[in-house]
Amino acid sequence: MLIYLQAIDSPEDRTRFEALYTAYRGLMFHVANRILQNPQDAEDAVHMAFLSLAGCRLPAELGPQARHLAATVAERKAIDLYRARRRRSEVGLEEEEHLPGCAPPPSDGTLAGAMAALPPRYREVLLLKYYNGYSAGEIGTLLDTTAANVRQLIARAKKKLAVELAERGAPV
Amino acid sequence: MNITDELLSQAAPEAAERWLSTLPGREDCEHEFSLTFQAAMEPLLSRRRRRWKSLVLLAAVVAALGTLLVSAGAERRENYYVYADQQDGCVTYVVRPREDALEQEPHRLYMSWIPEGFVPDMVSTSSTPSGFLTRYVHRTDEERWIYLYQFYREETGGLLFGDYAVENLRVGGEEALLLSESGSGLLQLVWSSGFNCYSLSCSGLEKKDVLRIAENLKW
Repeated sequence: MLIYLQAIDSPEDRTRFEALYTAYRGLMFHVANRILQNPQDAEDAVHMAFLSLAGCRLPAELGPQARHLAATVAERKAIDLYRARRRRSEVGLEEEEHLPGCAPPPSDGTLAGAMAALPPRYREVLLLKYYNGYSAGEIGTLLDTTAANVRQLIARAKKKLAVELAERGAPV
Repeated sequence: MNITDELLSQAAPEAAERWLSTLPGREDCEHEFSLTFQAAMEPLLSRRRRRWKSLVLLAAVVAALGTLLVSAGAERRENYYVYADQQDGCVTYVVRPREDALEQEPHRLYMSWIPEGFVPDMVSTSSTPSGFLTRYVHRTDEERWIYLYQFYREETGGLLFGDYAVENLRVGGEEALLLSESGSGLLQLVWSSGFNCYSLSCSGLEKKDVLRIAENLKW
């Protein structure tokens, strides 16, 4: 796992980190705990999430984008920890949605609905890119993977969206 | 069917909102985090406080002690590598790297001695010259753990609230501070060596074990 503990030089960045910590650590714990079903493991996941966030460009203010970022990174750390703790590396990306707490909201045939209903890994990379505005490299830092893998996941996610919408006859 | 970047950007806010709507509100997410978590977060939060909150508080504490201590503190701060101040249940500590050390590549240390029963847990590393975290836990007892933070070319420090005792000692010949919380048994050993600053946080260990871990860190 990569950890970036580089200096955050500006007071603004330090303020953003602390604001994120204060506002969303509870939410992050909830997201992690509903996957892991174990408070100590959930706290571990939240800790690892903040380690990743510490090396990342953070939103300028608290709001939906910051909430999404915090919850998404906590979800990913929890899923990764779930795999590690239970030696469940064989859980494929498509099966992640069947993990506890990862059931997606129902899709209604719209592009937004289909994006929200994607398996977690696909949803995470797509929304971090198109909602939070992160580059593939930044997403890789947040999710502990490579930029190349992020680009590949985004391509696969788009393909899955196209199939999903085509099956529903959506006019995309 | 072509899903363009523009379409995805337009749909993303609603998609995010749909997913976020499955999560509870802030008021329903209250959780009292454990001491373990708080101790693990301390170095991260402390590093971000170091140039403003901690130093502002340090200045306030020093100011409250009067002119004499201000003078002594100012002289002290010119040459220190570890420094702590304790006042009214609050300990402020600062650890600085040695800028006059020989340039060397950052290396992750490993613990060549750990107490029996501890195992690596999500051992983390970094390929950047910024820092490392190594963690061990005692799985049969959830309250026992060891965190080692390494900061390369980074000053670190923090604020600790509670019944902490501060002890000056040495690790590998270098000045060090042992911060011990009597109620919880938390021990935090901080020191610097060369360009590196170290924070070794432990729970469920005795002082001699913490020092032995620190004395047996290897490249």
